[in-house]
Amino acid sequence: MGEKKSKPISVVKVSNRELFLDSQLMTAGASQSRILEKYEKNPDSLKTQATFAKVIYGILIGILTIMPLITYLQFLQYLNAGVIPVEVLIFTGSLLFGIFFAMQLGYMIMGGMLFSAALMTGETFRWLETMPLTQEDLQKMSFKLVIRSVNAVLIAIVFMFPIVFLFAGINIPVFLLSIGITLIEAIFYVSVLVFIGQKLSGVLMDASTQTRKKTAVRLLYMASYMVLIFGLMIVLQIAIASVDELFITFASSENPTLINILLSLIPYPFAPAYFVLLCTVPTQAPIELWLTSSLGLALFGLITWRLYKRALRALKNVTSAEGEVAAEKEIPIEEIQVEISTTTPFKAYLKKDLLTATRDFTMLMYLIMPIIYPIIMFAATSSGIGFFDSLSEEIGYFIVWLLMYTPMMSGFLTAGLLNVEESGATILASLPIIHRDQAKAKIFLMVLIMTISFVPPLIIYLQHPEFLTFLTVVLSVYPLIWSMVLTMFVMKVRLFGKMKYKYILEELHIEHKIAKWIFMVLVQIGILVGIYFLSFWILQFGVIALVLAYLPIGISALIGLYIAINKMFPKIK
Amino acid sequence: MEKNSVITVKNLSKFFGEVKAVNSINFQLRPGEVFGLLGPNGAGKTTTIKLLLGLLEPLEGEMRIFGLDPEKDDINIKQRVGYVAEEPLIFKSLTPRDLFKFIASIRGMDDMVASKRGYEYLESLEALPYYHKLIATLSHGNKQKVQIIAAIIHEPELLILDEPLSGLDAKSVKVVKEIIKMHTQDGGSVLFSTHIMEIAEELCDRIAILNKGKIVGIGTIDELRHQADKVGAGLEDVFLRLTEQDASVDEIVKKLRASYKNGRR
Ligand SMILES: Nc1ncnc2c1ncn2[C@@H]1O[C@H](COP(=O)(O)OP(=O)(O)OP(=O)(O)O)[C@@H](O)[C@H]1O
Ligand SMILES: [Mg+2]
Repeated sequence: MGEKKSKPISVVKVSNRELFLDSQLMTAGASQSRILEKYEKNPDSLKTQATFAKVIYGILIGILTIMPLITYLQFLQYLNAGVIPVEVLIFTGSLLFGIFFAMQLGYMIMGGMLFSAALMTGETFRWLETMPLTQEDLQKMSFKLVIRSVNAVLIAIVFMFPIVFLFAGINIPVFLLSIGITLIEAIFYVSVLVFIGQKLSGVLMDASTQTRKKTAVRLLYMASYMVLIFGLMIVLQIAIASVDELFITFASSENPTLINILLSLIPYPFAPAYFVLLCTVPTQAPIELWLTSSLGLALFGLITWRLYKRALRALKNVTSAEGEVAAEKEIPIEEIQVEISTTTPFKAYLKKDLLTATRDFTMLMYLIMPIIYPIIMFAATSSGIGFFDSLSEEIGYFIVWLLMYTPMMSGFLTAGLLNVEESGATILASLPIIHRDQAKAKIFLMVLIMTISFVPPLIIYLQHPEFLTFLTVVLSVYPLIWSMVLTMFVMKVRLFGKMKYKYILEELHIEHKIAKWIFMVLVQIGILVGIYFLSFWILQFGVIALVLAYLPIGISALIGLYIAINKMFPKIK
Repeated sequence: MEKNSVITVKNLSKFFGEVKAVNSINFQLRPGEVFGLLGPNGAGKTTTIKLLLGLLEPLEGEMRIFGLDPEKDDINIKQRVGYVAEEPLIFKSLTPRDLFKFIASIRGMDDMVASKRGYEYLESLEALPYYHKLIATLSHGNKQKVQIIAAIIHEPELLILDEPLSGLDAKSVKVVKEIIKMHTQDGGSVLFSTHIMEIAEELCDRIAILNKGKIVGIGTIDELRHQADKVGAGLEDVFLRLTEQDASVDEIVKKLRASYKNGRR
């Protein structure tokens, strides 16, 4: 019994690696054995990759801390100057702190969402149940697994803010106090993460995949999550750009006592924000604010505690096998009809990929990101409409923003669409696959999504008096964009799927994977920079010249790619 | 190359770095024959099968399936082969229904024929209740059933099965054995790897025993007994002798006994 105590923790380590290895293998397919071989030779390589991703997120969140730092320094400066009333300063400072906390949550969710969803499907726990662990152990372990998946981020959340504050000149007691507050926040975030994971996996694992309607609902549901999260990002990003201005803007406002009291009562994110800020100026702060923010903070603690409890309960359902996939009505066997209708291989591939996209969250992300990202970027940056001296200057700006994310998007599309094949590796290995058909279906989807993704930015420009010009520019730049994604596709297949007598879409040569991807992205960026230079040079001669230049370049690139792809995937009788 | 053989393998080798997974093996599979590949874990059975399907590129040697080269003609070969892989990676976000539609479309099958066969196989393997479930939610045995149906739905001439019975319940094992038998009665051939001696004894016309990438015994069971100097012995003993594991098994058993006793006291 004595040694059993330590077990859960070591098992957490194993299953954490298991989860990561699983995800790696899922994307490896036919070359699984190669990955396993590599894993055997160097077990740490996978761990390094996982750690790398986590640390990047941690650093991102760490960088975010610049926002409260700037805020605090400004706050101190105005406080010492004594021009602006203290209450106004407290209001602005707390508002910004609150926004910072909310941003942390947003980034945290973005970073941990997928892992949490994977965890909440409960598959990892199926084998753990075979071990001599109590249900309680399992539950604790699952919580630890969630925490492990975001541990670097959590460390950043708990410590960065207080430490930055310490450097900005607060005293030790306030430092310790703020660590306490960030700790509560961390628990709050993790609990929220568990709930989001649960919701997502619930949608994903819903076994009733029968009707189209349900699929549509599921898609919508997932898309709304994305929009929600990214929408939040936009609002916050705009806010961060205007830290300095905000202080001045609010300076002339009336005495914000009432707003302060109301805001500081809101448990999250404002109560902790007020409380921390008040602590830094304990004597100058109005007494009623102390009261309300303490109350709000206590409320926040209470909410966090209950959320944490409920998250534990949610995890309990996951860890017990009976938990899910239960409430599903059985169709009597006599009523099951087996109708196997066939289509052309091209359509069969398309159908399979689209079905997968509606049921596999990772795949959906790969396909939706390229559409959502331009919307967000444009929404966040198009505030510049109408602020330009000349049309060609504005067009230049438009092109820069329009094309900026093409390398990333073609990467997403290529990786996503080629990776779906891996979960069906043994089926694909057994089928007489004509790679030309397979490639055709993939290319069709890639080009389609790329095309769609440039429509939303256009919608934003509908109100512009020169809309038709923008439309023409987008239309003429399409061949170039298609060429970029096709270049990515060709590079991926050539680097990963070259066999003696043919090319395959699966990954065969997985060695130097990261280096190859970096190379591919760099090539894309190179092309992009080339297009930028060209555009700015030609724009001197007017927009029409630009359109006239884009079209032939794009079309000849497409022809070249067509010949290359045709060679790689020849027609077979 | 022999005219009337379904599979011919000559001096075939495949190394993974230092590991000689398949080391210069030779064998033939004749029409209507059930040929078993036996060998301890890591002997090279799966590697051999993957080479035959053109999924791996050989280091050296020659192979022919239906007189075709798997490296160049894999599409034609796969039209006529049904392959059940060791591990069922069969598109977890599809249902068996979606999967069979996909397979039938790629193979260019007739709707009616595909539906009829699909129904029959699903029913005989008692897999009908899972027809509309996500493959991700199926148990291992049920995934294996789906994979087997996917491999035989086009009624191939040659079945290549890599441990096809792993994870199946007793009744399904029986059904799959029947499928294999019926398949050979119709003139089809089967190459399959297994760890279950009884099954090999019952089904195989000829057996090749692999060890560390080499064939250490090949022929009918009687021929193998002679090769192992174990006339009258069961296949298990023959297998252990040929793979030179009989001595080590005795030793392990002895050690186990000893530690077991110690543990009791
Ligand atoms: N992709 C690979 N990379 C490196 N080594 C490999 C790879 N595939 C197989 N091997 C090695 O080749 C040898 C033969 O493996 P193989 O999978 O063919 O064995 P097997 O006979 O099928 O074993 P089992 O009965 O366990 O399925 C093993 O030593 C294995 O580790
Ligand atoms: Mg094997």
